Parts: sequence; C-alpha cells; structure tokens
Amino acid sequence: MKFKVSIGKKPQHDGMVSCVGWTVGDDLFSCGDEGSILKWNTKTGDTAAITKLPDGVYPADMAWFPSNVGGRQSASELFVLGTTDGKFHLVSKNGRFEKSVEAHNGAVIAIKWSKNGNSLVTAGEDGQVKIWSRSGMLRSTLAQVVALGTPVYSVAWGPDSEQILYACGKQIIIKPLSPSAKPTQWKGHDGLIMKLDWSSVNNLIVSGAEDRKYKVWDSYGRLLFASHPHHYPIMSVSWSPNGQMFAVGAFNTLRLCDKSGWCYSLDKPNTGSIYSLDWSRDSTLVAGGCGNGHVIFAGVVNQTIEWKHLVVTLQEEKVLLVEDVVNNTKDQLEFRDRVVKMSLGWDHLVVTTSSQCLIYSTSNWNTPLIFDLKGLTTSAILLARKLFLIVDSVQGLSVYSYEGRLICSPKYSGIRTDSLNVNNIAVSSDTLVLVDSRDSRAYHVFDINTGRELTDKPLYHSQELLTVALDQYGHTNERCLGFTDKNNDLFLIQIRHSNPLSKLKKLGGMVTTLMWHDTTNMLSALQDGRFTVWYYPRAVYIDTELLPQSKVYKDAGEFGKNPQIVSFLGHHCTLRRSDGSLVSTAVSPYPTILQNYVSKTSWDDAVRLCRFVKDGALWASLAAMATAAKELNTAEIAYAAINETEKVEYISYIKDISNKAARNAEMSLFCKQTGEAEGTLLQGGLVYRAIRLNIDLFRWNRALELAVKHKTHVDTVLAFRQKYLQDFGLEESDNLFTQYSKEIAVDWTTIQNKINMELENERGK
Amino acid sequence: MSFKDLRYFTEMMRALGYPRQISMENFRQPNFPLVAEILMWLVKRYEPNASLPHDIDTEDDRVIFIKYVSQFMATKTRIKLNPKKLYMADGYSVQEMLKVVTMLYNAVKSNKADHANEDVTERSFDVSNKISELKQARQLATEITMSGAKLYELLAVEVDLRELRLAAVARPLEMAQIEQGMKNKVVSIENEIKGTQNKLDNIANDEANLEAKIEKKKAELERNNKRLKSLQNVRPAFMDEFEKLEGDLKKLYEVYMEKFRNLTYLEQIVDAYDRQQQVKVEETEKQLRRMQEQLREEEKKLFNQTDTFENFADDSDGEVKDVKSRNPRIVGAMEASDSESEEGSDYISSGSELAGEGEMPISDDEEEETDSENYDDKDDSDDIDF
Repeated sequence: MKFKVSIGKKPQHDGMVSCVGWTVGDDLFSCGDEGSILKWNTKTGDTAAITKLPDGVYPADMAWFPSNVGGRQSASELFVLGTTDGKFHLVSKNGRFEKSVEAHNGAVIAIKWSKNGNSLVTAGEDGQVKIWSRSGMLRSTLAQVVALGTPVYSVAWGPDSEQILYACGKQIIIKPLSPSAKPTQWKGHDGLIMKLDWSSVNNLIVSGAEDRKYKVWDSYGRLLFASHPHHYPIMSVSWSPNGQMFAVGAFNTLRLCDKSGWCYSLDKPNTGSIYSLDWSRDSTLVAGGCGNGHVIFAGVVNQTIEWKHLVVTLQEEKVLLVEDVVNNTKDQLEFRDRVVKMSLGWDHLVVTTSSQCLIYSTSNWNTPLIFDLKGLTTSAILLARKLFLIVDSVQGLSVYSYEGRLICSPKYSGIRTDSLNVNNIAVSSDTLVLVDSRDSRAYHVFDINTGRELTDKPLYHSQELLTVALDQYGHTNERCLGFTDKNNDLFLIQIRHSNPLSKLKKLGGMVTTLMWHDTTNMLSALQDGRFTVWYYPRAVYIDTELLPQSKVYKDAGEFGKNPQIVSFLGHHCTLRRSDGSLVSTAVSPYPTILQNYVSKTSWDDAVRLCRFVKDGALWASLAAMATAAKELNTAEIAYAAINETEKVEYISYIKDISNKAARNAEMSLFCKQTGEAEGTLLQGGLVYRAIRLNIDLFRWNRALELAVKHKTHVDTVLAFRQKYLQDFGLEESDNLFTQYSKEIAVDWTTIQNKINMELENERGK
Repeated sequence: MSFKDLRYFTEMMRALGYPRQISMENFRQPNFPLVAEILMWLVKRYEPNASLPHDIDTEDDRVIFIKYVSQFMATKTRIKLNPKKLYMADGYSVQEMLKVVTMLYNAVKSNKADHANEDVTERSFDVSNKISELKQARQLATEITMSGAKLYELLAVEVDLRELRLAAVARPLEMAQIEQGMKNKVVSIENEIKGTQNKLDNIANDEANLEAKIEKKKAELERNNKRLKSLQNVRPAFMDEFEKLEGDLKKLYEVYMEKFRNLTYLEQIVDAYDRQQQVKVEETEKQLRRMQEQLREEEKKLFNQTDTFENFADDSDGEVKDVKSRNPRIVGAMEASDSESEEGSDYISSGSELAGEGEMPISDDEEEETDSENYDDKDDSDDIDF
C-alpha cells in the first residue's frame, strides 16, 4: 500500500494553507492564510474560489458538519471555521457566513463537530476547551489550562461523543463530558503535541508532536507504537474513516501508516509543512494543506489482498491486477470509477467503485455481475459463504447474494452507520450479528433471509464486546457466535437458541484475536502469548471437560507482540505482526479431514483416522462430535482412547437402556443438560424416571412437584427425603414436605415394589 | 504575540533551513539567547562576513547587540526593526524578526519558482561534451596565468605610477589655468558644432546631385530600350527568297511522299500477285498430274478390253474401281474454283485504282491459262496509270 501523490504546478493559495475539509461528495474546501476559501473538485480537477475572509482574519481550523446524522441532510451543507481572532464562523457551502461567535481569547486553534453533530468543541490559544451547541451557544467550558498558559493545539471527540481528547503541552488529556468525571491524563511526548486524532472505529489515538515522533495509543493511554524521530516536527495526523490506517504530515513529509503504527509508505513532496490532513469519506484519498500554499492530494494505491492462490492488487485508482499464483496467469480489471473497496474470499471477488458494485467469480474474470450502489462511501465488504454484506458509512448495511440480488438491509433503531466496521459485524450465510453502536455491551442478532431481529431486545453481555465472529457451517439453529469482550475473554454463544444466554460459554481468557476456519467450524485465536486452535469448539455444549483436551496450542513468540490473525484457510493460518509483516503457521490437516468424515457420518473412517494419527485432541473432538450425533459406539471408542473410564462406563450403561426416550434423556444428562433430560422423560411418559432424576440431583421440591402433579410416587419422594435428612442428621425445614409427610405414610417395601413395577413396565413398553 | 505569527515564523525558518527546530512554545517566555542566535543567523544570511558582537551575557551587551542588529538591518536591508520589541525576546520580537524572515522566504520562494519553470535536465554522463569543456578550461587556465602575469607586471609598474599619480593629484589647482582650459574646450567644441552644421547643410546638395544622376541614368535606359525595339522590327533582305524556297521544298516533299506511298503499295500488290501465281501453278501441276493418271488408266482399260474374253470375271471389279476413282476428282475441282473466285474479289475491292476495270474474269478449270494472261495485262495498265 502506498500513496500516489498529486500536487499542483503552482500553489493556488498565496499564503499557507492552514485547513482542509472534504464535503460528502468529491469536493474539498481549503482555507489559506491570504484569506481565500477554495473549492477543489477531484473528479474534474477544477478549483474555484468560494469566498474571501475579511482582512486581518486568518483561518486556523475547519470542520464539516457530519453528514450521517439521520434526516438532517441539509445541515451537512455547512462547515465551521475557526479563525485567529478568536471567533468561529458557521459558513454555508456557497461561502455565506451564517453566524460568527466570539469563542476564545486569542486564536481558535482547533475545532471539531461531535460524531452525531449535536455539539461542537473548540480549543483556543487561551488554553480553554469549550463545548458549543449546534447553533453556537456556549454549553460549557470543559477545561482551563491556567497554570502554564499554554494553548490547546488539538482536540478530538471520543468514539461515543462522550469524551474529549485534547493536548496541552506535552500532556494528552481525555476528559469525559460529565463534569464530575475525572480526566485521564498522561505525558505523551517530549515536545509540544501539535495534533491528535481519535478513531471512532478502532478506538485508537494517534498523536504527533514537536519531538518529531508520532505515537499510537489505546484509549487507556497505553502506548502501542512510537515512531523513530523524523527530521521535522509532526504537524498533522489523521485517521482514515475506516480506521485501517492514518496519515502523518510534517515538513516536506507525508506518511501512510497502518493502524498499528508501522509505515506503509513515505513521500517527500515539496510542500513545506503539511498543517492539516483530511480523508475523503471512502478512505481512498487524503488531502493536505501545505505551508507553501499547495494543497496536496494523495490516493491510496497498491493495496493487496490474498486468498488461497489468488492475489489481487490495486495497481492504480481504477485498475486491479488479479494474479493466479498456481497457473501464473495475470488478469487486469479496469473500472470506470475509482475503486473504493474490494474483498476476496469464498471463490468471489467483490469490488465497489464510487458508483457500482462488481461481483467476479474466481473462475471467470471477464464477466462480472454489476449493479449500481445506493450509497457512495463503502467502508467495508464482508463475505460469507453464500452472500456478502456491504457496509456504507452513510446508507447502512445491505446484504446481497453473489447473484447480485439484494437480500435485506438490516437495521435497528438508533443505528450509527459511521461506526460500523469489521470488528463489530459478524455475518454468516443465515445470521448477522451487529454490536450496538451506542452501547457496545449489547448486540443485535438478525435473520438474514427476513432481515429482522430474532429477539425483540438486543442481547446484553456484562462487558463491552471487542470483536465478533460467526461460524459458517453446521445447522442454522446451532449457529455459534464467538466474541471477545473488554476483558479479553473469549465466549461462545448459540445465538439462534430459544434462550441464547443459557448457551453462553466461556472458552478462555486473554484472547486478543480470533478467526473461524474457512471450511470447518474450527476456531483459532491468540490466547495469552499462545496460538490456539479449538478443533471443535461446540464441545463446550457437550462435555466441558473435552474442551481443553480438544484444543492445541503452540508458542506465539515468533509472531511478536500483539499479532492479528488475518486468515485461517486450509491448514494455514496467517498472522500479521505488529510491525506489519505477515507470518504463516501450519495447522494439522487431520481435524479438517475428521470433520469431513463426521459430516458424511462415516464414523468408521473417522475412528480409523484417529487411530492412525494417535492424537488426543483429535480423539477428544471425535468424542464430542460423536456424542453430539448420539453415535454411542464411536463415542465409547473415542472416550476410551482418551482414558475417560467413567464416561465409557456411563455410555455402555446408556447403550443398555432399551427405551428410546430414556436413552435420549440419559444422553442429555451426560451432556449435563438436566432440563432437557427431564423434558424428554416427561414427554416420553416416564414420570418415575423424571422424579428419580430430580431426587438424584437433590432437587427435592421439583421432585415433589412432579409427583404431586402426576399423582404418583409422592411417598417415594418423601421416603428418599427422609433418608437423606437422616443421613445428614438434619431436620425437615420445608413446610411442603412436613405437610405431605403428615398426610402420607412412608413404607419402604411398598415403595420398592412400586419401583420394581415401574421398571418392569418400562421394559415392557 | 500571536498564534499565526508564531506558526508563520517557525514554518519559514524551517523552509530557510535554520539548523535548530523552533518550537511554537519557545517564545512564550522571554528567550533572549534564542532570539540572539536567530538574529545572528539572519545577519549571517545577509552578510556572511559581518562581524557581530557575540557577548550577550550582560544587559549592556544585549543592548549593544540589539542596536547593532537593528542598525545592520536598517542599512543593509532597509527594514526598520523595533529594538525595544526585539529586546523583549518574546512573541513581539517574533513579529519583528518575521519582517526579516518574510523577505528572505519570499526571495527563496520566487527563486524556487524560477527553477521550477526551467526544464530540469538530467545530468548527462556524456564524456565527449566534457572534452570540449576541458579544452575550454585549459584555455581559460592559460589565459588566467597570462593575465595574472600581466597584472603582476602592471602592479610592478604601479609603484612608479603611484608616485606620479599622487603628485598629479597633489598638485594645487590654479583658477586661471582651469579657466583657460575650459575656454579652450569650449572653443574646440564650438568648432565641432560648426563642422557638423556645415555637414548638415551639405546634405541637401548631395541629395540634389544624386537625384540628377538617377534622372540621367533613367533617360539612358529608355533610349536603349527604344533601340532594341527598332532593331527587332527590321526584316532581312534574303527572307523573301527563303520563304519561297521553303514553299517549293514543301510541295516537292509532298510529291515525293505520294510517289513513295504508291511505290510501296504497288510492291505490295506485286508480292500478293506473285504468291497467287505460285499457288495457281501448283494447282495446274496437280491437275495435269491427275489428267495424266486418268489417261494412263483409260489406256489400261482399253488394254484390258482386248483381254475381256480371256478374263471375264475381272470386269465387274474394274467398273467398281472406276466409280470410286471418279468421285474424288469432282469434289477436288469444285473446291478449287470456289476459293479462287473469293480471292479475286478481294483484290478488286482493295485496289482503289482498279475500280474502273469492269470485267472480272471467272474461269473454269479448262481456261486457267488464259485467265492468268488477263491478269498480266491488267497489271501493266496499272503501272501506266501511276
């Protein structure tokens, strides 16, 4: 990935360009210190003067009203301009000054709209940070840096618009809007901090300072990356709207960096200091205002995506190169418009340009399926087995099949489309999961075919969710969502279950990144410095003890600090180290083969494979799968192979039960699904067994309730209760039991007879 | 102190290549050492040899330094700096320094723009070009040594000349002498003016002279032209005779041509006739041979009839043979006559002169001899006609 820089022959501004800002479309506005505001059209390359500022007024910062605020399209026609005389001005698109407000003593250095467009923050030379309403009424003065008298050079909103990030000297400060909350403050740099930016997508902060370094922080102030010192102070930093990368500007320097900090490309244009950087909405172009009056445009090209044997490279803005490594063939795909986003996987390449969406099958590069897009700013494309999802930062989500048919456009009330990104969306061929954009503890589950939410209310987790991922195979009702929360715990949940939260299981802690396998339901993750693969994560619903046995791990020291899993295809897993390099690691191919056998129910082959490989993890996953399929013979063999004697015993006991309902109930019990077991028994008319189940579990009240309800074995329950109390030397404390024990006499011989009779009956059935 | 000024100042200093990084915060507090360093650097940019007071430790030294700098700037660059503000060494001093820096920055910027307009050609590694340059350089080097030697010589003379010059300069000036000199000069200049005046007057005369000359030449040209025309009109004496002879020659040539044509025509006819004759001769020869054979056979018959009684059986055979031999003879004769008549008519139509000769001889086989004689007669008459 790199920048393709274009810069005019002659500077269009006479003075320094102190601020630039993109409109929703392809237009860029730039303000120069000579007082003129210019409009640049990137499609035609035209430049037009919009207006002139009065003499003695110099611009310092500008911000366009956010466009994605629902229903207020007209409001996006205006921007706010901070000037060095301490005022800010609301200016319409055609250059009319709607309103001017006295804001600061000294210059207004930084100005930003909140993400929802409700409020405005300004930072001034007087060291104050002020919050304003949309119409320019002062709401509060958030901070006053009195002690040093230092100006606040940069300010940014937090992802939820509830926090303000600003720089004061060498300090970086995060201040929540609520007045009582304490600010988080840390020393960021050795020099004056010139610019800060906070990405709403990945929640990371980037800062640039006069100590000539840029640094990446997380929202707790932990340093994730620090650059080497440059030759000149860093004057500007800016996150791309999709959160994948950021741009850094300094004197005659423009860098493109990955979100983890390492640098994709470095350009040395002859521009003077780049004072301001702004990304276009589709994250393909960045514009910079330069010290010598130029406005620099830099397009992101040379992005590369890989899938199996295919490599797709964005050669130029409109040209894609598809390379087949196996056949050594190359295809060049040319487009009418700028390529915004592309995604490769599941035998398809999906490309969105600024007006169209093109679907290529990997077997045929000549005839794509083309349809026009509603939205113009695709921020992500997610592929699943039979369909794909286009995320538009203005229009929201739309799900299409690979035939180009729109399946649905899921949405929930209060959706904030600009915050949607790869981390908070999970899609499979039947289910879609979205993390709520306001409260990331909540997540919405959609059925894709109908486009409706499965539950009335979103599901709530105790902590904020960080990443979500859905498995792609298996029965729809058993669809599993894997997610990590703020504590880095990995959970699995069967989201299409009637009571999903009962199926929430924790797989492990300290998980930073996870990825499902492409052809089976294997799950890979990085857990506490180890690369871990669960061969069959659903074992957690079958036999919790099997879960640790069915996972394998290897040391992840070779992947460095904080790697990310990029892909998990076949028996290769690719990870990206924090320095940007890709590392592949091999995973055993046997679990894939085993799962294939199991899906074809060829159990004998599966057993033979396991015997051949002699791997405990493989046996454990086979045991879990066989138990899930109620294939008792195989389960018995598998359990025996991993030395689970008591389970083998129990399975052979189950095998001896002749009654089918009873056997199923015992299987459920084996999987520790007591409720299910009881239900199965009652449905099969085996009341005595149900009562006995509850007695064995010491659930006396339930046993009595069942006995009373079915009017049998009340005395049995009472007898066992008495025996239990006697053994433990306790007194009866339950009123219900004392009441019944008065009414009914307990006689062990009759009870024994009754029990024998029941067992006889059962055998007779 | 202003955000904008500070930003401008740092940007320009960076663009000018100031070796240190200047922070936006450097001038929040009075910072005289930095101001002094920047001023020194700026002064050096203007005048690398400028000697500056380096001491800025005490108050007096600083005052002297600021004074020197502001004087320097006023004299060399015509920029008036406010020494008081400079001395404050804070944001206000930045405003002052900005005046100097802006000037330097604009100069650099315009210079850069000029460079940008020129086509930046890549440095070539062509050695042949360099050779010529080398020659030039050598030449220049010799020139330099020569002129150096010359200079040295001249400088050696300078010792004497200086004395003379100094003496000349030191000599007191006398008013009378100067006046006399001036008067002389005035007179000489007046003379010069007169001379020029005279020349101016003479110009008119010269003009008239030249005019006259041109006139004369023109008249001459005209006369010559007339003469040329008259000469062209004269007709030489032998012309009539020449034309007459020419006419005769033409007629004679025509006659000659006619005769020649007739001759060739007749020759052609003779050739054709000869060929015809040849054919006829052959034909008659054939005929004669046939007749001879016939006669011989008849003789044979007659001879056979005498033997009739002896060989009666042979008779019928002989008759059959006779019929057979007769038939081909008749056919052959018919053919010959046909082809002959056609050829004859051809000759008649082609010969224009023969149109008057009415009789066209058509003959039987028996009259062939006379026919050929007739043709001979005709040919004779044709010859006479020509």
